[in-house]
Amino acid sequence: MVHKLTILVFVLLGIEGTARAAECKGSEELEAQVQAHPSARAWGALGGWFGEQHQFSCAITAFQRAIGLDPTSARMHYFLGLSLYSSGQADASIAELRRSVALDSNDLQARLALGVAYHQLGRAADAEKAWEGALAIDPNSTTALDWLAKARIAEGQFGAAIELLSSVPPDEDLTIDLALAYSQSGKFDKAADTLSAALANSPNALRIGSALATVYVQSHRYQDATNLIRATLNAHPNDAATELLYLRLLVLQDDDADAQPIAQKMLAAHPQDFDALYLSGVIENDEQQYAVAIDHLQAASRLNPNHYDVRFNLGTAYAHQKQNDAAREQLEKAVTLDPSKAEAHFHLAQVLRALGQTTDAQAQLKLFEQCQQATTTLALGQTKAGQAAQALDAGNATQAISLYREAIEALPQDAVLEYDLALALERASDAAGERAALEKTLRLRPRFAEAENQLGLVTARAGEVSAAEQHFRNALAAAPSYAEADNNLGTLLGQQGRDREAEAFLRSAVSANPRFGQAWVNLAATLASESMFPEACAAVESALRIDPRNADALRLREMLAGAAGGEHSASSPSSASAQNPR
Amino acid sequence: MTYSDRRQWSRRRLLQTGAMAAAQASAPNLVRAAHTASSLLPPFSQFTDVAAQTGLTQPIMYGPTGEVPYIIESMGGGCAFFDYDNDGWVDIFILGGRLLDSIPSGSGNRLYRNNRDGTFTDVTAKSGLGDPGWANGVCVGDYNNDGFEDLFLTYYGHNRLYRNNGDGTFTDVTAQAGLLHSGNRFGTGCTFLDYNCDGHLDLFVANYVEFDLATAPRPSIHVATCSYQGVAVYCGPRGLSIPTHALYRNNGDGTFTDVSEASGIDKVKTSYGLTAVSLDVDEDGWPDILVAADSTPSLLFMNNHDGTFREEALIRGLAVSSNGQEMAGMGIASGDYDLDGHIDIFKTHYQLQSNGLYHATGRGDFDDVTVESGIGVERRFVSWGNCILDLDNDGWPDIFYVTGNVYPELERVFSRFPARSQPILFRNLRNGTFAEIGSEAGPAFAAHHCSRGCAFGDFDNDGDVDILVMNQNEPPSLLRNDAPPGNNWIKVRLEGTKSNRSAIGARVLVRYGGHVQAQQVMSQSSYLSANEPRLHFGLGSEGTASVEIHWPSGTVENYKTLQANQLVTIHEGIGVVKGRPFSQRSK
Repeated sequence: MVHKLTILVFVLLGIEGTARAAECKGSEELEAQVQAHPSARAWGALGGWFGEQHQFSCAITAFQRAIGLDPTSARMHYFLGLSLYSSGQADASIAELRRSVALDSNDLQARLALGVAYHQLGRAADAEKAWEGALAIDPNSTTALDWLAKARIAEGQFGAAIELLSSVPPDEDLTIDLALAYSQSGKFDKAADTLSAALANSPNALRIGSALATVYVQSHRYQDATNLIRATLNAHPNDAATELLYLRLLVLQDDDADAQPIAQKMLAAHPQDFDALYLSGVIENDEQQYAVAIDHLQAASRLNPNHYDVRFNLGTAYAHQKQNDAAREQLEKAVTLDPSKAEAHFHLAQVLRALGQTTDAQAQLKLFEQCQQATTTLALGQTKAGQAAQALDAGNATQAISLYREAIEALPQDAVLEYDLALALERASDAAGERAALEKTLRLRPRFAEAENQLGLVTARAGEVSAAEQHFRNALAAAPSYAEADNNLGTLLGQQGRDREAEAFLRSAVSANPRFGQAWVNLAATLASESMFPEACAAVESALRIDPRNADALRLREMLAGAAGGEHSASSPSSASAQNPR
Repeated sequence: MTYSDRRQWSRRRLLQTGAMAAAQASAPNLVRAAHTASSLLPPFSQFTDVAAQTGLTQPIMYGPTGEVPYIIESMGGGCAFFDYDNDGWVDIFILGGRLLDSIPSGSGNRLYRNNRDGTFTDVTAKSGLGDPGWANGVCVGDYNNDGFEDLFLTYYGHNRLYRNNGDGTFTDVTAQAGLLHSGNRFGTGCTFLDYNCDGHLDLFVANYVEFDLATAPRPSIHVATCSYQGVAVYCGPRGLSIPTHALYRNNGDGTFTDVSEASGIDKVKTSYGLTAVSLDVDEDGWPDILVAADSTPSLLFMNNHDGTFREEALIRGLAVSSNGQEMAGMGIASGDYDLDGHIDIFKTHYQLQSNGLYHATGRGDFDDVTVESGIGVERRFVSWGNCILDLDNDGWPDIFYVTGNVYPELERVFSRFPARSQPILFRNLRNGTFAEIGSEAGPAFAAHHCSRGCAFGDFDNDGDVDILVMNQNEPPSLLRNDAPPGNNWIKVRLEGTKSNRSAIGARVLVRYGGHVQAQQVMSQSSYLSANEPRLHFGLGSEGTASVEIHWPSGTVENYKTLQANQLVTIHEGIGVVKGRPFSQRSK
């Protein structure tokens, strides 16, 4: 991952400095300064110099001297923390960075560095809190947004990542993060749109182009992917990653004529590279060059024994060479690695038949047919679902409901379809139907955060407050960074007068998504209910920074101005501005 | 998508894709060798499109030309060479369509009578066959054994059985024959066949998809099955519900009984059916049914001899490609390309897919020889009507097929997917391989059309096989074959007496010069089309041939040392009867 701590003095790779403490000798000028005026500033400057020279042990000593002279310097604690991290002492670095943050809560860099240190130690939750803290200081911090988005994506919280990145400043890393979140949640067209727009603005952005090509492939737009990668390669002929992507694309499309020269060149340059061996083997297998294909694929399988396609191609190559026992072994491994692949069952059946194992061959053919049938059924369900989505977009909820039901008939175990049906039923104002569909969704997939959140709304509207609270809590248990659920639970609790609890969840909402305007408004209203008027005003201002025309925020600001003028106001900001859960 | 873990990618084999450059270059040795071998053979036939001068000038309306929102506007239609008036000269029948919202003037099917002088006359109006609708396929057979060939047409909507009245007119007898069905169906392939060997032609009908215009999905780039390469196109067939198929038993009195359930046919609901051919795959004397299927496994219904069928395409090697992939099966051609006495199969497929050549082993199963034969190098176009027939009369059946895209929208975005494209011709190199020779066979191979069905027959009775092509929204093509002089031939016309009168299902083996070539009389072939019933065999330099006939009744007859260059008309149990002599064209 490329991260954007570019302003940091040191490279955070734990590279040990070459100088030892006993031999620390800085620049003449800086050494003279600490001798003449041994101030924290002077020691800090010397420490910075050692840091630039990657003499981290010396830097640590210098910064410790600075802190000894000025223990309340947040900056020195920050630099000491960086030095400790760079010398491989991540635990110690955290302590210093935390001190820096405690001394200066508005220090963005310290929070960013703290997040990275936590991340390095695998403390994901702490890291996210650190970055959320950074975003509270600067909602546009691309570094914080990038780290946080990647963390959400890694946790599978794609919706939360999309929420976070939906209106961020243009930035290559953030664009790719957003596209990744879209594609991981199956929204390939949105991923493509995002990347296309970015590429239009920055035609030479290599990583954007590669990402867009990947999305095109996922969307079966092979021609678009090929055209794009060819153009990229023309512009960057020496870019190895692009060339590899191009080779993979050619192999995917069975374009052996164009692929083979590239693969051969790659293999000559990197004879032990997995991709070079694997892709060469696949091409050679396709070209009926079975002996050399077997050699290359065997080498690839030694590097990665659990790669389905290596095993599959090795199996078919052996089969073509009539080495049926070896073929069987490889194809059996392939079907174990991925039982959903019809082709592997088919070829294994042929090999088993050649070996005279007719019964086993028939069993594999049966599995082959089942895989094919599953593919057909999936296509049927997806078509109906796509049609339903179109109907809903066109405002025809009734037709959408009917189509979703047909999709569900084809794919009865698909929780997402059931959830989509629920949303269509909501549009048709069928509360009972919506509830039933959501309950079924959760039976199919118990930790479906969006369904829990939606069921929370349904039960809240029905006045079942306890049930609603439980559903919102369930949503957050499944997806801790689910800002919408945080906001809904906070609002529900606020409506019950449980302001302190509400505040915590609303703070969590704006922390998870600093651009969540409505959550800021709700937080402001809750804080006002707790008579925390300065904090409430700050929250309102946060909402207005996101959208200066936010009517609720403007109204609340007025009321708070009145409340600040007189302590007890007839109109309660919380009742006026707190939205119902949404 | 994970950018860093490249190993997440796996090879997709759903479609056999490949650029033309790759297709040509990926087997450079094979293609070059094939061309070299071809150039050592005598000159091939020359084909000329004579449609205009023969009077086939009426465009066949079928759906829109720019964008096609629904699948029903794209799949039709077939065509037929058949002799409706029994004058010994094959006539022409072409299926037509319409537009969604209107029936433009000139829409509908067309019947052309052969004037015997190289021209045709449009007799549609008198015939009663012109009914405009979404006609798809035609199969020909004398279902009532009255001596006149009847027609069964499949439609999106309701299929129709037209009884030949023998006077140039046809009557729609669908209702009285018991062939009406409830609701709309998307009928495609059909074949008359005598599945219970009682001497009466029964009827099998394949269906494509379950489709209701009122609720059908529309093109959308947001739905995988409604887009192609990022372009919104008509939805399907993937993603549309799969139908069952139908079998009707001929009661012998002009009516049929639906035996789809009793026969086991309707238990199979796995495939989007297109062309249907009846072929005795295991040569046991009982007709089987092969159905080309689109994007799903093709079907082979094996006759159990007791009124039921079992589906065995997968275990017999015809369901999917040699790699286990479901292909877009369109047309089926049957013929004996390697002269081993067993009927092989050639199936047309989709663009970026190889068409499939399946060699019959003689044991009732097939080996996919697409790659070894050299056929697999051509993958550019969506392919439709086809044949395995000896086009140059050198004694070795060649392969021909027509092409045309299903998505006219694509060519605006991707020039490699043109809406209209040329026919393809592979010459048999006599060693199990073929060479693509295209333009060497005349200007007809440079013409681009959006073709669908094609039929094969000798319209000018000059002893070679001509080609009729249905082109969507254009006049048809009629490719007159001028075969090279010096190559001999023999045609065999059969008439059943104990067997069905059309002799559908009769398997004929012709021996000449140490070779044996097998063919079968069929009701439907190619893509939703029907070839003329006279079986044509090129003999090369051989002056005589012997003919062995396996009649559907089980009778086997042998006719030794028949002279070449004649039509031999054989009545079951009677023998060779006098037929109309062919005039020898001056070469």
